Amino acid sequence: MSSQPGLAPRAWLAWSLAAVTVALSTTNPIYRGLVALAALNVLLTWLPPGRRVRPLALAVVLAAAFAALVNVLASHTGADVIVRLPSDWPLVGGPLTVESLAFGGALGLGLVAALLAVAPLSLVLEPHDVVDAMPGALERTGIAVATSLNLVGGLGRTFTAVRDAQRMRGWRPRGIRSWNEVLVPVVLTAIEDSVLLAEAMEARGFGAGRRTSYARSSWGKWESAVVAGALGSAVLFIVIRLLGAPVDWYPYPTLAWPPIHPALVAGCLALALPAFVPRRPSGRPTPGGAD
Amino acid sequence: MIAVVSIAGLALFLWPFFGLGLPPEVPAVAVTLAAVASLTLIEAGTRRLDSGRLALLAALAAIDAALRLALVNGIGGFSPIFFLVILAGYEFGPSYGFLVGSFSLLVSAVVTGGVGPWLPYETFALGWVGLSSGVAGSMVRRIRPARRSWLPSRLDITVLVVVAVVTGFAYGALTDVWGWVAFYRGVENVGWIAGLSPGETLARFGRYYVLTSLTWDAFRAVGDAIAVVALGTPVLMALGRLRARLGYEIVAV
Amino acid sequence: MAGQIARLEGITYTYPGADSPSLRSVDLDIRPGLTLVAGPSGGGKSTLLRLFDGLVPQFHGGRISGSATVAGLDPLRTPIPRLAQRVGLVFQDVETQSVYGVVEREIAFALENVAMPRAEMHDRVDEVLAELSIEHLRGRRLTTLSGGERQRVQLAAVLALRPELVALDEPTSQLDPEGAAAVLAACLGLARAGRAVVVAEHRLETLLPAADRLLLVEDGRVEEEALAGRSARLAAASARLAAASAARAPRSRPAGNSTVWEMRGVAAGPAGRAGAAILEGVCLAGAAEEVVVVMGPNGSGKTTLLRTLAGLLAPLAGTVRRPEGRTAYLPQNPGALLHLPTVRAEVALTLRRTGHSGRTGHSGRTGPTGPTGPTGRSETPDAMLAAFGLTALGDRYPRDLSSGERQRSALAATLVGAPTLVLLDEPTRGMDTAARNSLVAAVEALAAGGSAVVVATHDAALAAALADRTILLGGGRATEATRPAETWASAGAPGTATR
Repeated sequence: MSSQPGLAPRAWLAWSLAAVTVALSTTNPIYRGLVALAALNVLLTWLPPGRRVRPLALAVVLAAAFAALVNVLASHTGADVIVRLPSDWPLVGGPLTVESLAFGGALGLGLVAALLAVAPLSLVLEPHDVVDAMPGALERTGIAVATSLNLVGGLGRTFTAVRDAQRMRGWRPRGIRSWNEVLVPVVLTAIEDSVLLAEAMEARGFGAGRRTSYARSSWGKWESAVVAGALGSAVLFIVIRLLGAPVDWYPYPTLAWPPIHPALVAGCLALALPAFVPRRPSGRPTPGGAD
Repeated sequence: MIAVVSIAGLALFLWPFFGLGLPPEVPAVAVTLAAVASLTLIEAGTRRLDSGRLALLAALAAIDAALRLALVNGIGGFSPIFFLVILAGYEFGPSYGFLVGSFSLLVSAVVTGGVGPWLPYETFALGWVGLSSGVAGSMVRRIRPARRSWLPSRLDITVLVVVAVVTGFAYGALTDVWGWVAFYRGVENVGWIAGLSPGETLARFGRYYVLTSLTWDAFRAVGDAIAVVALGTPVLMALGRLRARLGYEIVAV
Repeated sequence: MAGQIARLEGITYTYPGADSPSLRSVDLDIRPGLTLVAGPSGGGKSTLLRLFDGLVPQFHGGRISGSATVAGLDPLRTPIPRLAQRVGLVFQDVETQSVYGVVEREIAFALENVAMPRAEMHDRVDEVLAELSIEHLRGRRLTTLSGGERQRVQLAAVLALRPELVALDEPTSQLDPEGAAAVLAACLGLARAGRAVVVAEHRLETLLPAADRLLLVEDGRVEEEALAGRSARLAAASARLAAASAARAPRSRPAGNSTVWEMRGVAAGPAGRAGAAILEGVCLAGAAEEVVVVMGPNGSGKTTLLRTLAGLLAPLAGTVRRPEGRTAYLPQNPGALLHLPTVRAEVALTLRRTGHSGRTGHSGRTGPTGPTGPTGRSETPDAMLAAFGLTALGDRYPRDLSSGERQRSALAATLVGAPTLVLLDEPTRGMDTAARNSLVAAVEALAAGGSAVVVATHDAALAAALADRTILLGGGRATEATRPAETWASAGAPGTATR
């Protein structure tokens, strides 16, 4: 079965970039939280069956907690002190405050939002979709990526087979030096594979000359809608900031509620649009037919 | 050629240190710029390659992706991709080294699902690892011209170890800049704030770096050095033979 | 009858850095129809085929003399992209030929290279898919295809440019019998339709009846061989084989022989992950000096079985018992594991690692008290090399050898050290006659010396030559074959399939 990215890969890419831009351009936890929720919604809607979210969730939470911790331990600003570490400790010495904890939370939220916004590129799309996402101008990169992806499976199997075989000949993994017997054969095999691949490519006419492209990119009204919404959202943030309205949140020296602007809230919510795109019934559209 | 042009990409990394009061959207915009720039460079580079070098590029990138899928990720910051990039750059030159670095990272990210806003920066940074190794290789070859057999000399290995250690740290520092600017903006003492003087910005980054990634990078630097010593000789020989092979000419008798 | 498609006159070619020419003063012409090319590995078959589309000498360099014309072009001087439009070449290794991930795009790769307009490309792809009857594969991912399907896609990819001459270099050597049959049937179809098709193969049974000519390439020289003579010889050989296996006396066993290896209630899966079992409830056992052959379709778990038996994979359920002493394991594509500077060094490494220093009289086990290796006596690297016909190659870099020589080197490196249990996974894949004979001799010597042997294979001839018992895998179960000859035939070589 061919894959079903549903939305064209280039649309996903544009959406992710815009969402990351929005998430990082403001320190306001309200907006960051909204973006995170929108991205989570989109991700869960499009997650293929069988893909597990837990490793991602774990990584995201850990990263966020780490960021918050760094902020608490290092910034030492703010009026409401929780605990005071001895000042002569390097870097972490000094007062640890409620404000820095709050700001750390906002930082963490930003990380969460950014990581979730980017997750579909790995979890929803498949590696070969990257090749399709390449615009015509990047055709050689596309070929290089495609051939590389094709070689990965074989080299992985070679690695396992060589490791097994060497183990049965008495090899044991003991430090990096010992991996010589497993890694070097794999590298040698890869180099030999590259010669075979080059021959095969030349035998089918590959050269420095002009090339045309077989694939027709599938781009429909939903792609345009998603990209318009995402880019519009990013632009909105820039514009509102230029107009002078408060977009960021800075809780020092004392804690205060973050400012909310209705247009920016709408912008954040617009990022949830991909979750509402209907799935195509027949998967990848055939190049011969219109979408 | 690619090598030279790519240096311009340093601007994408170093702009936070110049004390300009830029609006906060800039980091995100910089990511897009970096993505476009890195892909353009890769494309320009691959267009100049013959089938043999293109296929080798694909194969080297595939090794790393395959190893990452088969093995658990390396300890700390070390992963097998680095030492292959260093060796390939050393053998084939700065431009090809840049290509191997940037392209390998792209493929690895795609295969292991590590696509994210950090990707363009890592691409450039690993490309520069390959580039500097290529420069080192060219310099060594100027001092001590063509090896008779393909056996790497002591000098080769020593130079490679130095390159491995230096680039191990440099890569870490460079890729940290983006994360620092994007995620730790506004943090007192340790975070980035637009408009501060270069000296103060640098000091803040220094503190951030020590706090977050110094040990990680140390693992990487040491791991790469060990890998070069342990695995470098046979791999360099194989790469050398391939390079010779790609340059063979026809003699009509 | 159309005229000749290709003509070679006095071609002598030497690879760069090689001592002796790979092709010596070759004179031949190729006409439409099916031309078979046979010969030992390293003898020049692949070089000859690559000459047709200019890879030799343009891609590989080297020294060449003589003249050649292929489809009206000079392969020595015409740029390869132009030659590619008249000559198609399909290679042995299925996976390293692929560029893209989806079938139709892969077929279109060649068309993209010649800058064909997009609409025309789509038409051409449709035509080629229809020609090989693989329209149903159009949108499929290459990784989801079987070997036979994938190789046919590569053939289609080459046909897309409508070449006059199609050459295939051992296209079925990595395929199972079913896949091989499909690919060879496609070749026959092309030849009947009037194209010039050149196929280099080791196993000739399927194509011989339909071939127009047979060329024998050995040591760089090309000779035409009479088809009738070769057919007769092949028929005689397989008759002899059938008679021999029927008449073979069961190996004598030491009195009171009990099983030395056993799998009881074993469930196994490739990654050792629960819920992913390929095999279940496997109960097998084998004795010393016994050769057990495991057969079954692709995906039935032959490799998993061997790996579990070897101890490389933990069984999901059940127990595995191995004999004391060394277990030898030969994986698929064994040449990949060689990396030391000389063949001798590889053999010596195994000896050292497994505690057999190889000094005469000091190997771990000798003579009647335990297994002896393929040399039948205590082992030194040199004795081992001799047993596999590698004495002349002992100081060569193994990765530079021809594929048959490489496989023999890997056999030598793996089977040394007097193993008590020997596990072989598809050992004859892509092997030429010399290597197969070495293998059969080695396995018989090992069995005679006291080792227990388990071989997983598709190869009916190998099974017939070696098997004491045959196990059939299928549907997750392992069953003992009660009528081995039938099992060999049905699981068997391409020669038995008729299409």
